[in-house]
Amino acid sequence: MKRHFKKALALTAAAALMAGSLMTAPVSAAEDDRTLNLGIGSEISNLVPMSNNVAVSNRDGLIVFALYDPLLWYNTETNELEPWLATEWSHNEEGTEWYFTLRDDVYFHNGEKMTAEDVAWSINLIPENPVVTDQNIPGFDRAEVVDDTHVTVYMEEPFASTDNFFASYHMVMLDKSYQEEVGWEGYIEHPIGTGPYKFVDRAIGSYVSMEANEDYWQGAPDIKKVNLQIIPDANSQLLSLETGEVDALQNVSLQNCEMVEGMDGFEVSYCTANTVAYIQWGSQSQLNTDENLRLAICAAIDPEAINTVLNKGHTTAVSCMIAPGLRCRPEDGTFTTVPAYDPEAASEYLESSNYNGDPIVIIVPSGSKEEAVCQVIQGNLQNIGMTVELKAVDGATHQTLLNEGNFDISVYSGLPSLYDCNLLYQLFMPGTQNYENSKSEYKEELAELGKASAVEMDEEARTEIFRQMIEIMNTHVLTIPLYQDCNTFCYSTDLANVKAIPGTNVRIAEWSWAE
Amino acid sequence: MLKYIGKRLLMIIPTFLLLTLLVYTILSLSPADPALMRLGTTATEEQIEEMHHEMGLDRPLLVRYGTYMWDLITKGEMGESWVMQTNVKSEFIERLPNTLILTGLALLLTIWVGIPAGIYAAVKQNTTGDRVTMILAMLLISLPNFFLSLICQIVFCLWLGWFPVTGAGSFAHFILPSIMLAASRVAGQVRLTRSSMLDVLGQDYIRTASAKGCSKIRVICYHALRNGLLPVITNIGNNVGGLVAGAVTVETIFAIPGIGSMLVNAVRTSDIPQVMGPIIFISLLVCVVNLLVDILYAVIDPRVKLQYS
Repeated sequence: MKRHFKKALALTAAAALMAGSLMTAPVSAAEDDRTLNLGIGSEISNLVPMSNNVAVSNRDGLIVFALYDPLLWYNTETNELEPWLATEWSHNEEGTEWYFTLRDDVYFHNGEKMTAEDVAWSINLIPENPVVTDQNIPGFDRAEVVDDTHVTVYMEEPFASTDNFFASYHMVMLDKSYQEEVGWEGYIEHPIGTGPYKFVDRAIGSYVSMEANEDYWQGAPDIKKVNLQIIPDANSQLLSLETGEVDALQNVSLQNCEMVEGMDGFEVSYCTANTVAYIQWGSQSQLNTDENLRLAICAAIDPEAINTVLNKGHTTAVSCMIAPGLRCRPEDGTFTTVPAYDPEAASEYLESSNYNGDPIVIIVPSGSKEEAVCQVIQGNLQNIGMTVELKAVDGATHQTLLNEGNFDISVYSGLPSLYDCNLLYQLFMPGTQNYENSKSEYKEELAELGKASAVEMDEEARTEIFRQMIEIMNTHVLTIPLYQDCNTFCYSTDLANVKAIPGTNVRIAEWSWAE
Repeated sequence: MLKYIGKRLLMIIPTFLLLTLLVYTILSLSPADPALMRLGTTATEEQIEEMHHEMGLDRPLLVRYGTYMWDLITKGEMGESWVMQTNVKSEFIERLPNTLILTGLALLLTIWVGIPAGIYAAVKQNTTGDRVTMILAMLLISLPNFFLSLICQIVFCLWLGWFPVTGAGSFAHFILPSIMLAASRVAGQVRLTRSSMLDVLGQDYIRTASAKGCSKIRVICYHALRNGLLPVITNIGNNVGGLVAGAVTVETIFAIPGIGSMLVNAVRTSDIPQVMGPIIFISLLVCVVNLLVDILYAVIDPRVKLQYS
């Protein structure tokens, strides 16, 4: 018995030693070799844009702009397009031809030089990806190589925001010969771009690791190794940051950001985003035909309470559903705003409406940050005597209900991926299920204006069209803009140059380790 | 005995088919349209119809189910994710080892800790040891998994630094998650083993064995345990299904890329091919483990063997 006990003790000790050695933290390496571990909340939706007709998500901008480059760069601080892989660009007067001059010192991660043929081939993937491109670059015809450094894009009809499309995450440059060699499956398995980081490895649902592209045309990034870690649970994200398992977290909830602010050795970077949260009506809802009811709802909702209490003052009031500063967005003051919060006026509007006491149905994706906003709205509406039913549904059901329009209210967070007011056109595009189902009496007028905005090449005239659209939408409360969202990065003070930006084109290549 | 095993094996086939059909039907009845997940809110009617055709959603439910199962059985194919358009089989294979390690460790813990602790509590009935064991068991059953996980993450990962908070890179990554996954199962196992052993320990033949001068250990381990283990073994079969289902929460909290987290993501997007992979695995696993349990039952209990001899 004693012998067995000793044996068991020895085995236990050996197991403990083994576990201990496995748990031991890696020996600290030189700063050069230090890996940046960046926590993200969910799986990357598409590692190779334009490869499989799957749209890139806003959250994927970080990795897309690490692995690849677009032709143009959208500077989210100045709201201007800047030269990137294309040094110059212009278009003919009609907007049917766009001319791009390319850099000749750009190499893909496999050492092959990026050619005009690669660029034209990448652009000509547009028709193969209608889900991504139909609304983002309508009227595209083809791209042709002019010479080694020039490419021309031909449009069947003009689209004013074509150059913005070439700065978006939808349209980055891929390696034609590599794709021909390995096919799309091989490309997705090991993506190759011209970006500041090279793909190293990926475990689905777990991480994507990258290393610095030492031959990057803008110079090698300071941080040599980057590991994007997928951590879905918000508490685990915070604990991972606190234990040092990750060095930074992207877009954690504002409540959690406040907790990070109280932690030693960590900072939070906040930035007002180009994303606007707004209320939209179900296309088949009675609200479309009852302006007084829409006015009542609008006057009953207190956006300030949402901004200050729910969003801790980090979100900003906004006057229309497009964030200020985006291309062709009319200045505040040039259009009517929706009625301000006024419960008394709301009650009066409600009395003048055809509201019969039936429940107003609010739909929201379960567990989303909009769910809390909808709860506030539910309370606001109940305060003026309305019956409100809040339905929290899964993402897929929410999407379906949005299309069918069988609900009254939904809160939607819209980020124009083209950094342009084109989103207004997309909302009232004839043929879409949403448009066709809509009972709104203003839909034809808005569709006509939207179509005009797409083909209008004069920026001032285009801004005026959008102003008219916003004027109609705000005057008749076709949507209720709630707030401009906030983008965040929580990060360790070991990092420098970390900055949240309003858009999706985050550049981790600009980050470095603090001295 | 062979007849017994054959009968049990044959029962797996209709169980498996019914289960997969049920899951496929429920998912298909969901109001969510997977085509819209890919197309977005600005899709035209024409695009939606085209996408329905491309995804095979315009065919009758039974035809879709039949095609799926045919491809699975004849080619081993699990289809393509409707949302991500990735190969479900390769993702499933990539994630499977993590779930197997997690649930395997949790099952071992359930057996190694639950059974001895249950025996101890039964043998020491109404002593302080028994009461402490039962209070601990009650505590572990009462605490929700996600809450216990959070507390343990704070204590063992943040304060003590013994384990990593998230990920699946090394064996150390699985220790805390498997303990969390096993916690309520261990507690259940303790309570069941205790009550089963108490029943047996009160039997006449146990008293006879003691009166004949058998040592206490021999009475417990040889005479009582053999009979006392019968319901415990049945419970282990049930535990396997419960552990794999529990892995859904634990994998999400600890960011372990297993089939549980794959299932959660897929259900949220009504991605039927992506849901079916994990479901098929879980149902097959539960069927096979229950078959093994039944066989083991027959080995331990001669009455079962006699029925079929």
